[in-house]
Formats: sequence, C-alpha cells, structure tokens
Amino acid sequence: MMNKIIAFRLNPKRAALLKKAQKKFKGKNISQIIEKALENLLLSDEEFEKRIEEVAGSITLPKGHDALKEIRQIRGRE
Amino acid sequence: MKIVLDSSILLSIFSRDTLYESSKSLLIKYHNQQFIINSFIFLEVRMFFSSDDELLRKLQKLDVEYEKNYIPNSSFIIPKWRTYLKNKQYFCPVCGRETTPICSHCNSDLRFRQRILSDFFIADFAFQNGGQLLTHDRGFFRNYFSEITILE
Repeated sequence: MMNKIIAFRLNPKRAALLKKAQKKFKGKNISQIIEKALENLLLSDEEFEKRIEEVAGSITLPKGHDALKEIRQIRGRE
Repeated sequence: MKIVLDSSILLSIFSRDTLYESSKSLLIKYHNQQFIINSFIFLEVRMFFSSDDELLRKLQKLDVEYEKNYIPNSSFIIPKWRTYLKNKQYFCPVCGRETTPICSHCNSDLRFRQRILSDFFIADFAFQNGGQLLTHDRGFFRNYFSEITILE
C-alpha cells in the first residue's frame, strides 16, 4: 500500500496526550509513537496472552510459596 | 481508566506459580485499560530480579506504567491504619484467649506494629487513581478499603 501523509491538528489536549504517548512509547518520531499507541490500544487478547507467556517463569519463588503467601510474608502479615 | 496491579498478581505471572492461570485471566480481561504500579509494588517485585532494567523491560511487555511520583495521602491512610491496629488481636492457639505478643528480651508489649504495611500505601495509590485494584489478596483489601473496587 502506498504511504500517505495525513494531517493531525494539534490542540492543547492532543499535544498533552502526544507528549504522554511520547514518554510511554519512546518512538523515534510522531508517526512511530502513534503507531505504537494504536497497536497497544488494539492489541488482541491472543497477542497480549503471548506477551504474558514471554515473561512468565522468569523468577523463582521460595519452595512451597505462591505469590500471595510470598507477598504476605514480605509485608509481615504472615 | 487505570487499574493498580498488586505485587501478588505480578509475582504470580513472573513466577508461573499455582495462581498463574487466574492472574493471566485477570490481566487478559482488563488489558485494554492502563495498568499502573507505584514504587512500593515495584520494590516488592524487584527483589526477585537482578536489575531495575530487567524488571522494567518485563513491565513494558505487559504495558504496566510505573508511577514514580506517588505521594501518600495521610488523611486516607491514617484512619484506616488506626482501624487495622484496633482490630488486630492475637489469640492463643491452645487456650483460645486473647493475648499480647511479648518481646523475649525485654518483655515489652509487641501488640502495635512499628511500620505501616505497604498494603495501605497501595490501597491509597489505587484510590488516588480511580479506585480499581487487581490483587489475589481480596479479603484483606475488601475488609479495610471499602472505597476500592477489587476487580474479579
């Protein structure tokens, strides 16, 4: 598909949102930031599940502990 | 809408523990909203990673925003902390009577905690950000923070 340029009128609200998106998505230019923000917004459940699977199992809790037991112990409630 | 992710959810995902499937379902259910954490949650989870960067990369994968500039609201936290201390009772497992923990060195009464639990800062953070929290510790948060919605 041919690349097209679209106009995006900046008002104070959009400028503030764009600044926030720039901080969050760290794109090289405005096009990339908008692309990342849209991708993120429209990320499907399957794609998000894939991301979860990618980070799952990267740490080990003490033997016999699940996350809840571990957190209660860290917080001194157990 | 923002949703605060408690450490119990993040640790469960990162460790793939017995609560993993439930944590995963909750994250998928709400992933179109903005997940956020504060420095208390970050530090609790960070204990299991070798560097800040490593954890930040994983949080970014899950689209979790790390809010570093959280300022506790004392007027929210202190009344609840007082209620917690008032309700905190110790019972002897043998005779069943209410008792008081005593220091084995100086015999001082240890009934009152010296530090405020991070749960109170997390609930306050959730309250400041729209009042929605994802946690596995539902009972505790429901008991003390009726203003917060515990998502299921």
